Amino acid sequence: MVKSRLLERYRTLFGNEFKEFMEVIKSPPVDSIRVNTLKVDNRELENELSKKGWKLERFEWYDCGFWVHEPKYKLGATLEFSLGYYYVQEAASMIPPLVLDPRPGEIVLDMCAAPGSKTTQIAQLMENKGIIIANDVSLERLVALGANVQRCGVANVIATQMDGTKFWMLRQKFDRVLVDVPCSGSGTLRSNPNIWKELSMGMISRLTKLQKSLILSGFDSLKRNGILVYSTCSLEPEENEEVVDFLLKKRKNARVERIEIPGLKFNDGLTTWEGKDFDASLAECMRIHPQDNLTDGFFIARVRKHD
Amino acid sequence: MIKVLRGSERKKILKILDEKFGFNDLKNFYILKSGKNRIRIISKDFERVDLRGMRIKFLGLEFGILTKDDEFRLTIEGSQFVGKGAKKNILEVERNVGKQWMSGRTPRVTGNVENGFVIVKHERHILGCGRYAEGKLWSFVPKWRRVLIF
Repeated sequence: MVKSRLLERYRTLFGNEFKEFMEVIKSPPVDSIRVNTLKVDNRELENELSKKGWKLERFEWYDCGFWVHEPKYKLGATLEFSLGYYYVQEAASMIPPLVLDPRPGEIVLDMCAAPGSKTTQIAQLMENKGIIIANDVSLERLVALGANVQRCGVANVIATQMDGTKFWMLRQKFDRVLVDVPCSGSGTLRSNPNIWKELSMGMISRLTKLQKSLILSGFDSLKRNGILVYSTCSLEPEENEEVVDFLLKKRKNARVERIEIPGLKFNDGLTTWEGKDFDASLAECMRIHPQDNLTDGFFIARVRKHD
Repeated sequence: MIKVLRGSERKKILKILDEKFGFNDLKNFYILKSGKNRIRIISKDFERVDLRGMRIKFLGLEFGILTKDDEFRLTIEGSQFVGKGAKKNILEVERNVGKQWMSGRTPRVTGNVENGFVIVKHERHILGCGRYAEGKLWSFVPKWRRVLIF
C-alpha cells in the first residue's frame, strides 16, 4: 500500500493520537522477556538477573513480564535462556493468553500455535496440567514449536499439523480456544518497517477471508460455555472487528465479553469503520495501539459460546 | 510410532530411575516410548482427549533416551524433573567446569558419584545429564542449547 494511503487510514483510526503514534513507531522497540514459572520463581529470577547487572522493569499489568533495558548480551545466548527460565517475547503478545485465562486441567486448543510463545505461556498458566492441542499448518514452524516447548519444560502439549479451518470436524471439543491468526502484522511497524511497503488492500482482503474461516472453526470447536480468544498483531479493522462481527452474524450463540487487565492501557473496539457498522458489543474488544503501552499493536476479542 | 508404557514396562522405567537417582515420582504423567528408545512424558489428562482425526506430530516432553544397557540418559528437562527429588548421582560442579560442559566440552572433574550417567548441577541450576567416567564428564548438551554467556 502506498505509505500516504496507509497514513491516511491511521490518521482516521487514531484521531488525536496520530502524532503520538508516529513518534512511537519511529523509536526502537525495547526487549522483553516472560519468566517461565514452570521452571523458576519469577522473583527469584528477577533477583538473580539483577545481581548480574540486568536492568529489568516488571510490567505493570503482568507479574511474569519484564522489560530488559540496555541488555549486555544477546538474550538468547545466556545460561538462563538455555535452561528455559525465560522466553524472549514481545510484550503485547503476552496478552492473549492472559485473556484466554486457561485453568489447570482444561482441554485447550491453540489453533495457530507456532513458534510457541503463547503455547508455552498457556502451559505455565495451566501449571503443566490438562492438555493443550498446539496446532500449526506448517511443519517447519512446528519444529520451532517443538524446540520451544521442550526448552520450557512443557509436558501437556499434543502438537498437530492440520488446517485450522477443519478443526470443527473433530469429535474433541475444547474448554478454551485461542485463534491467534496469520495477519498483516501492521501492529509491528516499529520492529518491522517493511510493512509500509508490503501491506496492500488485496493482502488484507485475502487474510480476512482466511481469518473468518478460522474464527468460525475455532468457535465450532468449543464446548458449551467455552471461551474463544481471537487475536491479531494487526491494526486493520478489516482483520479485527470485521472478523468478530462476521462470527456474531453467523453464530447467534456467540457473545463478546468485556476484557479487564488491571494496569494495561487499551482502547475499545470500533463499532463503525469506513461506512460499515459493526455489532455494538464490539466495543467490548481490546484494541492496543503502540502508543498505549509502548508495545506492538494488538487486537483481542473474548467470545463465549452460550447454549 | 508412539506407545504408552503401562504395567511392567512403566515399572521398569521407574525402577531404573529409582536405582540410579533415588527418584521415581512420575505419578502425574504417562510415560511414552517413541521409536526404539526415546522416552517422553505427558500429563495424565492426555487420556481425556479424543485423538480421532488429529494429525499428531509429537506428544509431551522428551524425557530421555534408554541405552541398550538399560541406563537412562536424561534430557535437560528430564534432568530438571528428576533432579528436584534425586537423592544420588548428582554431580555438583564449579562454575568453570559447568561453563566448559555447557559449551559441549569434556572437563576433568571429581565427585562422589557412580560411573555412568549423572545429573550435573551448578549452584541451584540443574544443567543436564552427563556421562561420568575416569574423572571426566562427557557432555550431551545439544548444539542449540549450548551456552555462550554462563
